[in-house]
Amino acid sequence: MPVDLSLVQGFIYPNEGWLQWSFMLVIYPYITGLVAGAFVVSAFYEVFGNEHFKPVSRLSLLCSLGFLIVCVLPLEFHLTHHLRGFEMFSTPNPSSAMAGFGGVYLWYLFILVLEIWFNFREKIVEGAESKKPSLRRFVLRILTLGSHDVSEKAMKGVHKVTHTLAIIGIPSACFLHGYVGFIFGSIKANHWWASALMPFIFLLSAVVSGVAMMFILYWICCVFIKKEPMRLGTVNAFISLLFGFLIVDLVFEALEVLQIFYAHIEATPAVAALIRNELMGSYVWGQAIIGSGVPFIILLLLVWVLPWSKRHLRQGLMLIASLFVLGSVLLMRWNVVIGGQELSRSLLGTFHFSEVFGTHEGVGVGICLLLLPFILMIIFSLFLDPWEYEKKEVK
Amino acid sequence: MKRRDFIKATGTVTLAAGVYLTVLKPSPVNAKEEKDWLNGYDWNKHYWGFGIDSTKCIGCGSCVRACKEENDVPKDPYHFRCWVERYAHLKGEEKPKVDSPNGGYNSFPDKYKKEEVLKAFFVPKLCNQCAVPPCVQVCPVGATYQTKDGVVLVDNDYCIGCRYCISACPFGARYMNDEAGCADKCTWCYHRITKGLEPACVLACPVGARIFGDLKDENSEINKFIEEHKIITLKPDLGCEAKVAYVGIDSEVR
Amino acid sequence: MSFTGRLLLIALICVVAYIVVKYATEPPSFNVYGHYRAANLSKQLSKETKFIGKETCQTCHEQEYNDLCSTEPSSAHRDLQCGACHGLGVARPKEGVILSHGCKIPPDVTKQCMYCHEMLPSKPKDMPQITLKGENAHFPGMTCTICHTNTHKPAYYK
Repeated sequence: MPVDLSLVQGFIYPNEGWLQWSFMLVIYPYITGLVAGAFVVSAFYEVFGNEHFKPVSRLSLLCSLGFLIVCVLPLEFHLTHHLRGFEMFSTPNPSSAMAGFGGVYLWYLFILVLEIWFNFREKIVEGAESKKPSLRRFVLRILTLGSHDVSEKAMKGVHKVTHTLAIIGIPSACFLHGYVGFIFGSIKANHWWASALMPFIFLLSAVVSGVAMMFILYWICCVFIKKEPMRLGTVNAFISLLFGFLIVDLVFEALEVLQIFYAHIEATPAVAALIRNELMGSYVWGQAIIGSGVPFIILLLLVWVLPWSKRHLRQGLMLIASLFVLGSVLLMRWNVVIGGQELSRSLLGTFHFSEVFGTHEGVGVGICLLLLPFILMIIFSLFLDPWEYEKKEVK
Repeated sequence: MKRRDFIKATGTVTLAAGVYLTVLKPSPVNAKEEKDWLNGYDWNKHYWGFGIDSTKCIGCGSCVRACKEENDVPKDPYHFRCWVERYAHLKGEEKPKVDSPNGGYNSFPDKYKKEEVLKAFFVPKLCNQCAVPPCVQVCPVGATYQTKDGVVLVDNDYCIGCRYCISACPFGARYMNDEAGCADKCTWCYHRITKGLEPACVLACPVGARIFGDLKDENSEINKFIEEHKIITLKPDLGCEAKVAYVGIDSEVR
Repeated sequence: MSFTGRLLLIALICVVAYIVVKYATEPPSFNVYGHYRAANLSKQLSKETKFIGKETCQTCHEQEYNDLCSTEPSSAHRDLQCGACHGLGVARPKEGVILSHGCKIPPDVTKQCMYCHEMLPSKPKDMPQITLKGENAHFPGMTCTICHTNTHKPAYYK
């Protein structure tokens, strides 16, 4: 969409006055990040055996699948030829990072669907054998693939496969989102993107956002759905996990900017101008100071000053921190995708872009797309029931 | 037939079909290879080159107007295959002032009347037809490609409109053709040069600041131009191997 | 056959189906010369050319052509193409005769002259340049053609 040329500071190439990637490309890495983050939460129980994450482990898997299905939609929406999108799979260009995403995506989809299939095997057979005919029974009967064998021997094999798939899933999930960072980091034309650290930043912020989202979902489930108290161990495990990943994430993000400024390359003055002119609000204040600083201080308090505080206080503070983290990561995607385009590749100027709501790639559609994975997750939950699993184990 | 046998049979057939298709590739391509897709033009005999003598450019904008007309580029200030920039060093300022009002379509206003201009020059720009084009590298579907005679083209019946190439071009040479919904760019007037004509901008230039020719032809204008001058290309550090040869511009031109 | 075996079979069928669909949907001219459709080259090559050289204009506008290309010192525009001032024009000969083209006499001749001759510090020094404003204005308010009557041989004036 056209940019107000009167808001250009310095010089931009004439063709740059048209912003190409808008809100859809902002939520694409955001949603993909939540996929990877949610899977990592589940892996902490499935692979590393951390019992504290058991209550959310299966929910994380379903959530991950919901986001994975939706994550290609923003890409598809922002294309001008929606139907030609399939060419990405019929003639993928082997040298294109974006075409490579198609392969990485399909691989991860394959692993995740298999993982869910094996993980819920017992549940699927149980539901398929229920006496009352229902849509749920019908769907689950198809999912059993005609085999209702849940003998101890069969289940031993299933558990083994589940574990193996979860282990394969971790590098796959990390690669999926690291790859999204690579899509941006490999664009040498854009100095705000071109960085070897980009995949790490994307991956770490993805994990951070996934952990924060799973905590919020856990809170919603406990308070509104199951009406039972949150487990203190789980809350504490979430706090440690979020704090740990947040620290590493912030270190990497700081290092990336530090590298640009300390090395003082050709683009350094231009990047400085970009931050000063266009990103002061969304990057410096929004993402760095408020979005990262506030949750960091809250988590620091929880870990250091208030380690013995009551559960209610801990979960309340953690909830606030999680919300801030989710907002901060969304702002980070905005600052990368939109910020990178606001910097002229001539390195002589910047321009300002203000989002519009109406279009098919505007904020309105974006919010719908952000809600869609949760709806999918609820539908999956109705069929696969990730709750009872946890209840049974508690007894 | 037992169910087990049926499953086995299905498996075998699909496997065989898969092996057949992947290994032997019986695509319809081979059948049509005989056809001459180049309409009789031999692209092995040419390798096109472009030169710009910035010392001659007067910033009149003839090239921009001619290009927009020839190639049906929208006449708004957001879409350009060819444009002109003005660099001006003013007294008392460290960095040059750069502008390109409407890409130079309406020529340039004399906006530095009050300041003392130490040095100023025009820089005509167009697609560099990089030897290692990042736009072709990033296109996810193969909708943009490099021809054997060294020009990068866009297939607007195949482009999906993801705009990755526009972001990947270090020179800002690509734009979105809103009518076709595809990326678009300067082709050095590929439809003209392959018929022995000059590109529209070269023909329109009143002062001979744009030099075009065949690098494979020893006596061509472009070869003379490159031999007679010290030339530079834009952004050599990015490794795109831009092909437009510039004379008379400062190194700060990007 | 166990559950796992069936799952593997489904996976296999999916992979094979993908390969079949991939090859079925690949455009026919793809991969002839490279990872793109060769058919697009035909389209690019057969695109209509618009801008015509002055040799084509000469066939009808003999006098103007001779003025423009004359070797007299006054003919400073001899290296110009007609289209530089008259617009590109799209000459479409029908049975060898050009019936119409889009070229026109510039509506504002002074503006047209000033595209090239406006005094700018960024122009080469040997380019004849004037300004229409300020102290050194060159006959401000007058149309160029009052003195430079023949724009094809502009240095000649009465």
